[in-house]
Amino acid sequence: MISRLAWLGWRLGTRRGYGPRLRMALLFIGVMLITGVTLLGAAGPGAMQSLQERAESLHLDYRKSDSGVLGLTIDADGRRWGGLEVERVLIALADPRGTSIEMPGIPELPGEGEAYVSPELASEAREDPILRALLSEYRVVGTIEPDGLVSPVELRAVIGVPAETRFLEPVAGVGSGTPPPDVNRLLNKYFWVLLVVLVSVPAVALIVLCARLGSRQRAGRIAALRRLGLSRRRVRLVMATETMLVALPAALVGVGLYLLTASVFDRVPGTQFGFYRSDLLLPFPWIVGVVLGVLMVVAASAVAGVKLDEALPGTSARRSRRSRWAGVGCIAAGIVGLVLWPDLPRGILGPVVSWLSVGAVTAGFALSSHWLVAGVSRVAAGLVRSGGWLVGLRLNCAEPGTSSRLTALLAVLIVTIATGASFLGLFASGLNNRTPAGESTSVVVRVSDIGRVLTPERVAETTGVDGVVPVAALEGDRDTILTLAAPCRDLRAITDRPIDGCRNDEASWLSKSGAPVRLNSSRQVEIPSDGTLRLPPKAATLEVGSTDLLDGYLHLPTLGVIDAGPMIQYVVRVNAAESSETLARLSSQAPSASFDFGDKVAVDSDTQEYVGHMTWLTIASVLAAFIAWLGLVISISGETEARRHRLRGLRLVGAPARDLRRAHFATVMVPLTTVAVGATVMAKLINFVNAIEDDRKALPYVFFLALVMLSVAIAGLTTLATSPSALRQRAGDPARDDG
Amino acid sequence: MEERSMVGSHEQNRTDSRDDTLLTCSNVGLQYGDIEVLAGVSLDVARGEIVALQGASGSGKSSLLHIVAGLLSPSGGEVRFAGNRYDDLSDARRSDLRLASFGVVFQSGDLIPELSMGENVEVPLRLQGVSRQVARRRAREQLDELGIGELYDRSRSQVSGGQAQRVAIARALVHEPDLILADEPTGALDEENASTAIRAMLSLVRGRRAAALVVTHDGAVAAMCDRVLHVRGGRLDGTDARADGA
Repeated sequence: MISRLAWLGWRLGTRRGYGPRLRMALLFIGVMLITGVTLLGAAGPGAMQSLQERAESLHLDYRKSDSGVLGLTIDADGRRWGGLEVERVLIALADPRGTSIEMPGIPELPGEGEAYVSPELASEAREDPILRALLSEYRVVGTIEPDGLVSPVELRAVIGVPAETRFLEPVAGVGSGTPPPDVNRLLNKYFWVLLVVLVSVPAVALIVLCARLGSRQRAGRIAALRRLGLSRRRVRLVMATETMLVALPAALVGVGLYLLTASVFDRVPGTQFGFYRSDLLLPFPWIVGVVLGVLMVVAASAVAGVKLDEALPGTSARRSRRSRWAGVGCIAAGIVGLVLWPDLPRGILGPVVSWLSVGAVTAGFALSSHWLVAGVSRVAAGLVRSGGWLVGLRLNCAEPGTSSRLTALLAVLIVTIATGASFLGLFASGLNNRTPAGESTSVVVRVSDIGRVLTPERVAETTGVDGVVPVAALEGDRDTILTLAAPCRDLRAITDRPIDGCRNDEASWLSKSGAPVRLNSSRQVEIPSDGTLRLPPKAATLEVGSTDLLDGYLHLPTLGVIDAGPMIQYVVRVNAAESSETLARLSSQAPSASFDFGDKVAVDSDTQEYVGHMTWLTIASVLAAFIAWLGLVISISGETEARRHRLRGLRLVGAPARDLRRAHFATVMVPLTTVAVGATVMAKLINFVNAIEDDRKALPYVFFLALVMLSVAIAGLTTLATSPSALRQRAGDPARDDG
Repeated sequence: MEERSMVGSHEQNRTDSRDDTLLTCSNVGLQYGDIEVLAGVSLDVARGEIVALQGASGSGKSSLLHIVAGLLSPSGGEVRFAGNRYDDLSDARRSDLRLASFGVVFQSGDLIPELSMGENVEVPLRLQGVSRQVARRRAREQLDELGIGELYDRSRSQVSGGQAQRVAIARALVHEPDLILADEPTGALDEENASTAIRAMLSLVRGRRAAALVVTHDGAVAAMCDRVLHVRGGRLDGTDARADGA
């Protein structure tokens, strides 16, 4: 029987009219996108796992120290160069006889002042003055081969430093260490999932709606098959076979799309998320499995979308209201979850409840949206006088239909986009603490050099440095006290404000206002001969650098440079216009140096990833909105066809054309706009509740206003696009089953 | 005259075949929400018999036909085919019965627009596993019998409503069902074509000792049937409508 049904499905699927062709074209696009996106989505975790494995294989192992080779991997650690993440591996040879270690990707370890760089870094350095400055102290002696890189677009350098460089760790080998988690890769992973969801949801919905609309338009055919003796299951099978005729080639094109993507790109465009193409290629059985999975989803969607009840008389007198109440229940549960989750214990539970709550509110709104449409239409119907308005609004009350269910998709999209943007804002604010450029002509940075290569003289001589003061750490009663040990003249050089009363013979606190708070050294400050400073308890609890790097430092001009512990620290003032290049020069001198900008990261150009993410989020949103809009147009066109009988009544009683237009407007524009506004309000509520917990998630009102305006524009376009089919019934063409 | 003699001979057949009941409806009822569509309808149709159902619009004729076809489940009572109850079977089992033993034709024709007229007629055979060649031959023969053999390769948009109706009748007859269920099968046909279509139905019923239940408003068609029953307000009037001068 299966083969006979397949034959029938094949025969039915090979001949189509214009309407079904358009619908099938949409279905083709939907299946193609789902296949491509699913394959990329399936390949993504594998590619990321491969990156992780490569990173582990390249990580230095510090656990044994008998080789005599010194090395240190300097992760970017939040510091980026020219907006790009550069990882450096420092190599120092303490004992030439102990060079047993071999770094993958390079023929031999670099000598002092030499560097091997990745092809991408060499290429970028030619264009980027900051990266060029970063390599200015080194002679590039070779290129790192692929087996020494995590990804083909990685910016990596293996640098030879002086053997006497301090605090480099003894290295036993390469490949056994575990690198720290990379927040960017983590972000990329979430971002990846977000994009897949954003594109897949409307595409899957499109398939279901195409199948449902198709079955509605083909009610006559379904009735014929049922009367011929096909059970409901077999009719669904025939419809699924027919859908497969389109889905199968579409899935193959989707595979082609995936293979093309995997062969062209070696990074996610706009981001630093690079990958080896071979890592993105799934094994053949996986591809087959994914394609089969997509086809099964499509078949299931087609089967689920077929409505058999409209084809033949039934015994149900009223429409079910279960979905409405289920929707209301979901919304209520979601709101409760959103309100309660900040109070849940720390850990994974809170975020999971948060996302489930957002999902519940969204699903609930989607399920009950036609109730909202009916309610609004019912109220509006009592206010209008025109017959056209009345008929259209009453149609909405009686049968909001597929179009308003499709608007539920719009609602899901709106909430997803808003929540996604909020989520990205949260990450971005954690990564991009920037103040607008140009606010100040100089920037103060704290430089920490674990290798102790930098001296005050070398820092002061570096181009772009306007002032430098060493930082010392003194032991207080309760905590370490960071101290600026320099004459008042040097102190003034690193501040952009006057320091009243700074006297070289007195210890003082540098406060935020710039005025030192003098301490009575004879009574409150004790400096014993061993260099240990005893301070009152209040002083020992000061926090350094919370809002400004110069806040809260103890100025001790008479002590000179005090040993500040395992690393050397300086507070450096650099010219803002060339700050990145200046810091790159400092880093080139001392590759182990790191920089602390406090909370004002005016010089950090760490924005490239964020821009990339926002770009891709925008592209995915536009794509998803476009797919949803196509679905809206095709669905409402079908809805209009189905309603032709009803609107024809208007014409038969002699209604003018404007009343037909009003009826059409009421049945299309009103549901779409109602749901769009409702969904935006819901998204704003979700955002409001989330922002209570973390204000970085707050989105501006203009964002929601833009969403409403975009939705209304989409509703208007949809109304216009479906007008011809709605008004065509004025010509009195008979309703026909166009298959 | 010929029709009248045919009806007369069929009266004899009906008497002979009373003991060979093919379809039995016992006390069948149907409710749409609060609305009672059918109430206590009982009906027997014997092999070789054609029964016409007449009644005003909304009286429940088509609903009764849908119940007999297994497309609707009755709210009460039972329906048997060849002595076996089937109204309580699953949709799949009732569909199997319909495919194998029933021929259903409705006024709208219900042709599948993507298929040619010949393919439409082939469908029941193909679904029963008849080979492509045999199905094609029998479909051609059936269309020829109804005088529309030239329509075999035409699409739905290339034939008139009457021609489509005759194709639908051909589709209902081509697999030689035991029970033909027809709802206004000649509503779109002129007198001559209606007569031809009914003759084809009669020929099958007589030749294979099948049976037919035909809903019709056409007095001429009713006159060709063995019995005419009247449905009023969801109840079956047991008298032969022709006796009332229908």
